[in-house]
Amino acid sequence: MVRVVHYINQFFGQIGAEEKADVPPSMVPRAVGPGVLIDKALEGHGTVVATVMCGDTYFAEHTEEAATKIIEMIAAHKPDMLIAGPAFNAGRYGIACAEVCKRAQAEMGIPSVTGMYPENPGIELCRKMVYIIETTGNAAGMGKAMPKMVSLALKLYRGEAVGRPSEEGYIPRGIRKNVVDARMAALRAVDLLLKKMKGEAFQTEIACPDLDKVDPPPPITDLSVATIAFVTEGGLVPTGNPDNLPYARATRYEKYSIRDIDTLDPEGFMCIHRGIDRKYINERPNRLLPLDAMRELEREGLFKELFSHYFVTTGVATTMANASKIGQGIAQELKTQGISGVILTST
Amino acid sequence: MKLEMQEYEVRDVRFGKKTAYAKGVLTINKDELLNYISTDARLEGMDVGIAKPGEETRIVNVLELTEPRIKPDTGDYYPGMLAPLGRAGQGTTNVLKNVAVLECGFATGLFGGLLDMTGPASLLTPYAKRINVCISAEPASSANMKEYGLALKQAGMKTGVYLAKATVGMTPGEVKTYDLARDAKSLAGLPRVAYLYQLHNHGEAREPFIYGHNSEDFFSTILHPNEIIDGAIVSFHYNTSTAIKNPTYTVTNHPVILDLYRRHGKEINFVGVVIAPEPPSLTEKKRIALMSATLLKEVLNAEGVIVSKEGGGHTDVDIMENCEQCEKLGIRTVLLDNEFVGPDGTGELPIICITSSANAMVSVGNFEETIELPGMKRVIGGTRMPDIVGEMHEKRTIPVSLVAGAISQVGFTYLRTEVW
Repeated sequence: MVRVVHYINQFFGQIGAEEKADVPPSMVPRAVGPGVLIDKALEGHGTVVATVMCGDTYFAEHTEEAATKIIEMIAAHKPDMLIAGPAFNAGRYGIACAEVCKRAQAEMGIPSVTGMYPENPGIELCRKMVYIIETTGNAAGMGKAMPKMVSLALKLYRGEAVGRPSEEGYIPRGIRKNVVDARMAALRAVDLLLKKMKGEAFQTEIACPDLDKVDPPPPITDLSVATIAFVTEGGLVPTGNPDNLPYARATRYEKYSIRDIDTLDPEGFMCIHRGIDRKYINERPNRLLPLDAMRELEREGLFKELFSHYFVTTGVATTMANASKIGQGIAQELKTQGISGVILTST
Repeated sequence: MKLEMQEYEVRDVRFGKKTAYAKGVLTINKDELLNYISTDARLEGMDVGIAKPGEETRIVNVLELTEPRIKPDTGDYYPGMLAPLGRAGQGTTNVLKNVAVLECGFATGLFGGLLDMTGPASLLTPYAKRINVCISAEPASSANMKEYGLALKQAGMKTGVYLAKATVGMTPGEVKTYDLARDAKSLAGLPRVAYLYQLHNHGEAREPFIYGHNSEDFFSTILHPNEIIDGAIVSFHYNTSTAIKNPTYTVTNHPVILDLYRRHGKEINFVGVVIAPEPPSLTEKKRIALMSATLLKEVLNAEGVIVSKEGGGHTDVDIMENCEQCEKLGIRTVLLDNEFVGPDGTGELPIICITSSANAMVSVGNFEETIELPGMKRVIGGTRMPDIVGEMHEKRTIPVSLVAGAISQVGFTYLRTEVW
């Protein structure tokens, strides 16, 4: 028998409407309200062992505490799956369902399914992690939504393959899944071109993310007072890669000291970048980060000094979002350190 | 320029006493073939095996695939590479259809693909539907990676010509004629469409050849589509990941060119092909994009163009620069591109260069999505392979990018992504 816990708000839990929205979490060891539809949809394969309820306002105002309490209550019943809602177009309720499902899945490892109207703000909080069955805007769609939620949760519980959003009824999660098209890609390209040329409406299969144009700052007016730093996406790390900087798809950067070092020797530094032939950098790391040349210019007094550390990430297949995050992090540190110029080297 | 492809459909391939083609069956004298292709001192232990669709066979270290072809008049193929220099794209070519010759090899620096003849991976690649004649050899100790690759390439081309020779003098099942010439009336008013074909050259064994010339340094140029589908361009992408190279089989059966040909004189006026390199520096990329767009607009008078790239990373810059320069001249543009959105498809599209003109793109699939392969009974092509640990026949989970032919940057695939 599959053990199901159902999460609902105070209204569907028959505690009361808006005037009862501030009630804290509570539990009843059986199906309540719409939960009877879960029992029905399980068709004897399982049963609702508990219903956990919480007021929407209470959850919104004490999110962390409420969610922790709710997860405790759910876990106490050792369920095989969690059904939350459906929340339809109720915003606070949707957010609560999203949080509870996310945490139940992450902390208890049980499949969790909820249901919402496409405009519910709870969707963006969890749709990449949690399956959300698409519902109507109000509770009139309860009878249609619940069997879909149960059926999808059972599939997840049994480890069966989940089909397309349109087949299963869930809101697209934004996951790009490989599928086999009936028409070869080259032919689709020509189809698309003809539509575009005729001025008909056309749909791209890959949408490019928005560009973030950055205007360069004005040039440094007086180099003699300027501290210059090295930044590279070339994956140059101390030998052994002590911080396990990823060799591709980096999500972070590191900084390493070059204080009192005049040249980068191959014993001390190595390149881990997966997008290039690393041979030439590993022979002479100065080829990526020209420390030897910079020290010479520093001694000649071309600029005040070279910053004591260099910043490094690996620029291989990095997403726009991660690259921006890494760049902002490095820029923030540079600014805090009063650095006025950067030599940015790339592969 | 007129090309006649005489096609000979093959239902079965087997080893036998005499190499011959009869009633759809290709028989190969294995010893004769091995003697013919084992003369190269750079190779050791040459072997040949046959793998058929539906068999529980896994072919590993697939570096290159070609289609068996011959010019019946001269008895050879691939001008400038195997045959003496001559013009590709005219006269008669005999083709054994439904068969591919695979070159399998393993050495540090080479990146071969994996091809299962049954199971889930076989559904993703056109090459699992062909009867594959696989040649494999080890490098001689004196041969470096590039020489080893070139020796395999030579042996593969020779094998294809050797097999296709069996059709000379026989009546083909079908004859296909490729000729852009039409009377002006039938082309009047049809949209003028071209193809911009980027070729990737990025170092040793990471290059296509154009009439035998290493493609390291050339400017955008116009080729007749017949030249491309008749052996003028030969792949030598042995040091390139499987998903980001176009094997010669794909090039000679170029899906964009063949589709534009099919629609020529009916829906469109196919005005020609520009090939362009993907040079390393930004200045060079910009220069090439400007030159390509000029050729397309001012010489071919194209109104629309399909652009494809070859290779990963910086080649995004080329495809986007090409797109922008074409659109600036009023040429409507569609791009073919692969995706790189993580094993579970949750990643964002990492395109290193983007132009707002790139508003019409066709996906050839997410490179990184993993696929579970069952164990196979038989393995051809070696006992180890780059990026794969353990015994070759075992069941395993691999990224789709390792499946030979699953991702095709010129669109020789049915794979694409869908938002789930």
